[in-house]
Amino acid sequence: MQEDDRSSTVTCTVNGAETSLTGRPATAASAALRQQGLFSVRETCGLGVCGTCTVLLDGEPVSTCITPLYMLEGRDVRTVEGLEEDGELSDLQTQFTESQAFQCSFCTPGFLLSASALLESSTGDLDDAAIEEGLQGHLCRCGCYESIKEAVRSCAARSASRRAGSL
Amino acid sequence: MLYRTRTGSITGDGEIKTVGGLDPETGQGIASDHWHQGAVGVEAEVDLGTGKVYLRRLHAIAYAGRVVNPKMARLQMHGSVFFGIGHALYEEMVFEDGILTNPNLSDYALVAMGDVPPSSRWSCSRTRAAHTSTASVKPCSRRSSRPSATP
Repeated sequence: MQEDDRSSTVTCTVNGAETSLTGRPATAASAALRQQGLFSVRETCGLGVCGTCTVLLDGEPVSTCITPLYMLEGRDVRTVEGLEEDGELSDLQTQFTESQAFQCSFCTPGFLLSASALLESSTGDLDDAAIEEGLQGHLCRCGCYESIKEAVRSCAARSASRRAGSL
Repeated sequence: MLYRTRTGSITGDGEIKTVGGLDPETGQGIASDHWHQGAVGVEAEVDLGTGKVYLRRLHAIAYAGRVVNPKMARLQMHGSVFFGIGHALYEEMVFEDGILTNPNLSDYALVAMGDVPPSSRWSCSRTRAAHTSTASVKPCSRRSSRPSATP
């Protein structure tokens, strides 16, 4: 990311903190976020097909390698660094480690963010087809799809039973 | 699976020679000659109009010896099967006049989550004769909608 006379500053909320990102407006948002030390945003394909650079933009998963920096203005950005709850791993993150849903873990931040958005938007149990549909945009070269599905499924079942209990 | 297709039994023989290693001068050659015995059977459907292959069921078994870490062994089974599906159906590096024509992930298709057969079974065997194995270590099956026939 170069800073020159064409640079501008974009202000957005990153993981709950107001942040200024500087760069050319058309810079990939992934590069600008990595500049902030958010190394969970990983660029792989640069085409928006692999999902490793996913962040949640106002709660919606987007590929930041094809998102220009200016699109972040005023938006709420969440990376996997912001998934923790009071310093503890979130339920989904814990379940990922328990289900051993990764081998090399390069794709894991993307999967976690899309899966948490999926869990957030679902109201009941998630079946395999819904999980596949929601996470189809992520590639895992180690092939941990089965355990990832298992982790998301268990989380969905748990939050469904929690909701049923609180009714 | 074989029972359902009334194929009877299939026996396979093969030989593999360990060759490989990179040329120290050029850095070229067969990078890895790592292999294990294993077998995979799939039930596939082919769309006769488009030629697209859909995998419906899959059973994979590997001769793994003593499994020390069942969780990682399971992941290795899954990963190898998806790699195999990829090589069989999707992945190919296409060269034209010595130039790679699909050098990116939109042209070089990897297996994604939806490509996993809806009903799959995996197991690691400690014995070489996989089909008569009684010492199946932690058969890693996923929920299957239909009962799976043994190969």
